[in-house]
Amino acid sequence: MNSLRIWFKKVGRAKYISHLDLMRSMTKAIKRSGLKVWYTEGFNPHAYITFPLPLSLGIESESECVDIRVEDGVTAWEVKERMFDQMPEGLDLISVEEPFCNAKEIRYGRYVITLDFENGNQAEEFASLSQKLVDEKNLVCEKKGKKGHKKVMKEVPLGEHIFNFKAEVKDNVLVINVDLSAGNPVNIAPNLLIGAIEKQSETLPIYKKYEKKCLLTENFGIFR
Amino acid sequence: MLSKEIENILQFVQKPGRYTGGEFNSIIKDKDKVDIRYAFCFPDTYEIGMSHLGMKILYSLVNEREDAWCERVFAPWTDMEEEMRKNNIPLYALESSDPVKDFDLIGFTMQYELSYTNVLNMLDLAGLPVYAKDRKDLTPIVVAGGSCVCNAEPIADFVDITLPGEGEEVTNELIDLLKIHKQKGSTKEEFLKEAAKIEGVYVPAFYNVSYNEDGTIKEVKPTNGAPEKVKKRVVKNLDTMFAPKEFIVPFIEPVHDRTVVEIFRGCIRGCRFCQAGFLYRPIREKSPEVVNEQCKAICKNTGYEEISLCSLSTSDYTGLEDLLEKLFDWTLDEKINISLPSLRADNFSSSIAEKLAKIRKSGLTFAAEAGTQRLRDVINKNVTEEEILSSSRKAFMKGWTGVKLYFMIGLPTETDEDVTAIADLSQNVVNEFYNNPDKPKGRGVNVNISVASFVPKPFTPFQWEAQDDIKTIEYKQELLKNSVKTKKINIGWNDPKMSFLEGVFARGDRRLSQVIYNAYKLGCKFDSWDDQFDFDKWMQAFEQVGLDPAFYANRKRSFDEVFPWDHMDYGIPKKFFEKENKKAYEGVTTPNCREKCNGCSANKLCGGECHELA
Repeated sequence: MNSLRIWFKKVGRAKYISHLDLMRSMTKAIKRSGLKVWYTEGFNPHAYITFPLPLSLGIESESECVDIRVEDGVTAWEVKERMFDQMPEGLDLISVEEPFCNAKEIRYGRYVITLDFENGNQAEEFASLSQKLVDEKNLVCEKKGKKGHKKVMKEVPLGEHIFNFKAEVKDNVLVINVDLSAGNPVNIAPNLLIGAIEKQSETLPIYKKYEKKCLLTENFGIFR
Repeated sequence: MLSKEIENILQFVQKPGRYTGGEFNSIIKDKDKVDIRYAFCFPDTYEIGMSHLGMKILYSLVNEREDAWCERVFAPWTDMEEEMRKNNIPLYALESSDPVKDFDLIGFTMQYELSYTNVLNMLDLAGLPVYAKDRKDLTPIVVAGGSCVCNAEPIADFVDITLPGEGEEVTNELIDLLKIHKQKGSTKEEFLKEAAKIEGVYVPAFYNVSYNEDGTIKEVKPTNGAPEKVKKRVVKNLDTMFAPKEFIVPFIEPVHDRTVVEIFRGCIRGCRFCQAGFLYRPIREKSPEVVNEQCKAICKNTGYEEISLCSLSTSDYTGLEDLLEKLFDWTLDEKINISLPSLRADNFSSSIAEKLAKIRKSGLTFAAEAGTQRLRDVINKNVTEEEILSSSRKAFMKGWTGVKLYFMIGLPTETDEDVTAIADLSQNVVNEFYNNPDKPKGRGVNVNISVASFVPKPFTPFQWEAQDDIKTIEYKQELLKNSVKTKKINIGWNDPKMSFLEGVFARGDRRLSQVIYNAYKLGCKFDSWDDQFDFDKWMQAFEQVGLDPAFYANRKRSFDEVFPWDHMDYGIPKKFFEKENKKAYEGVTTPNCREKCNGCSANKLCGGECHELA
């Protein structure tokens, strides 16, 4: 038995696939591929797959990954060959590799946020407000959490979780590059950051696009 | 493919995956390279529609053509509808995100009478007039098919065409015809006149209905050269019939997420309450070889790990054991489960129980339908109590710890004793479990009984019957509830108000179009959903129009009454149903079609022999 990490994109309308649905879709893609994978041995055997870090609904990604366990003798190359045509639209297979990092090493996510505004002035206004709020380190976001079995909204201060923030305006579009805490114990999705800024802004973007570029480890090294 | 406008609202709705498309095996074509664009509309949610076999068949069938592109449309849930209306986003098809109003054919599948308001709401969301007469252009043409269109009169004012019978062949013929008329630049009327000549095509606007003073129908007269009787379409050979080799694999979980393959159409049984048993005659089987190959192909192309064999009565399939053996040859290794719905208690053999026990235990369901032998004879459900008990016994001995039983209340001639006998029969099934010496230690038994309210339907021997009114059904439900003495038995019900409306529209005439319109205007939609259903609004709509719903549902009709659906020909003459109705009241059963031909004439539909009625 051998662990392999499948890297794929999650772009276009595929960004609306929830984590649970993504798991089911990958299980079916593996089944279609005919790969010899390791099955769990419970009452209801299924292919064993695990995601190092789930991606929030509505966020695109240039590098998602899922770990699978294949039977001895199945190579990364064979997995790529067989899985390539089985991936649904927007879940484009990039590569298959042996896992280099452990999921526990994930510290940050690197994102590009693109915000469309009615006009350039609004974009500039939002950009400078964002920069100021990030510099002040006082931003607070609301995050869904659990208290016992109850679902509650929790307030999470963002000050210590925003890194390498850079905002650039071109015409009426604001592009933000940012690294945010990811993995355990704190995972900050980029829409939470923008939501927190929007609360203090008078002008709001008319369209928002979130893209994850990659995951990062301790010293901002790339998670592989 | 999604516009920024659509993306902006998706963040505010539950389950955005219902509205995005892009699933594996969904088909994208170049819209400039096709002649006909077909929007296949399912008037309920994505999860329900994506479980529907008919849609999968027609989707693949139309998309096999190079000149046509079939896309899917579902009823947006109320949250999505609100956002769409607020932001002026018209109803769009999932594959291309293009507005439905720009399509050439808009096809609705009508499985249930309580989805009629959703059809109107979807047309309105598309930005189209809901009344057929107000859609003046050649396209889009609004088509309806499915079992409800055996009596399409209540929706006659809204649809341009209905397709009684099976859609595999007639859909292609209709597309061919529309393509020609689009090229010629014909008017809608010119096209409809030609369409009405195709067997299995009904154009409601070409029929004039007149009424007697008592509200019953006097006469239905065809105009524009349309046929006196519209004959349903039947596919003669199921082995050579088009069947999909792949299904779309949804991202979000539909109600049934599995491979479904038909094993036969029609039914040999002739249960007198069952519309499907008569609508889909004659019986036509697919060979086990063909079923096996189709299962293999779909599993391979979808990655599904469950196969469901589909028919009206699985254990009546002559090739069942042969098929199961063929399937086990490869499904066991590939960890694929097989589920057999619609088993009968009278031919549930030990060897089938044995085979089923090998695979994962799904639920077992037996349809008893009535509590006493007398009433089961009336409805021609040729199953005895001993057969139900012995089937349950076999199942318990193979390790099942629960069974589900189907019953109906409100059947013709039913008495209080018939109702309480449902509780007795269920109790006897519970006892079978405890009488089994090998029963698993420390485990109890669950007997779930599902008790539906009987709704008389067209093209059945009970089409003349009065449906029990809401109060009577509520009384019988209460009576049954009080007769069940153990917690091992769980009872499930239908809402009697929904069954009442179902009954009204099942046997209604085209004056009801106005009621449906008014109800829709009052905000009725998703009427089959408990949390959306608003009975008071429906009653308000009937009042506004001045029609009494009880006239349609609760009135016993005479044998010489002209029915709203009499100009539909499903291959079985009215006098056959009349004979069966009389036998019901005499408590005389009719043998199944394999034991003896009873002369229903349906075999003629496939050019076969028929023993004419005496």
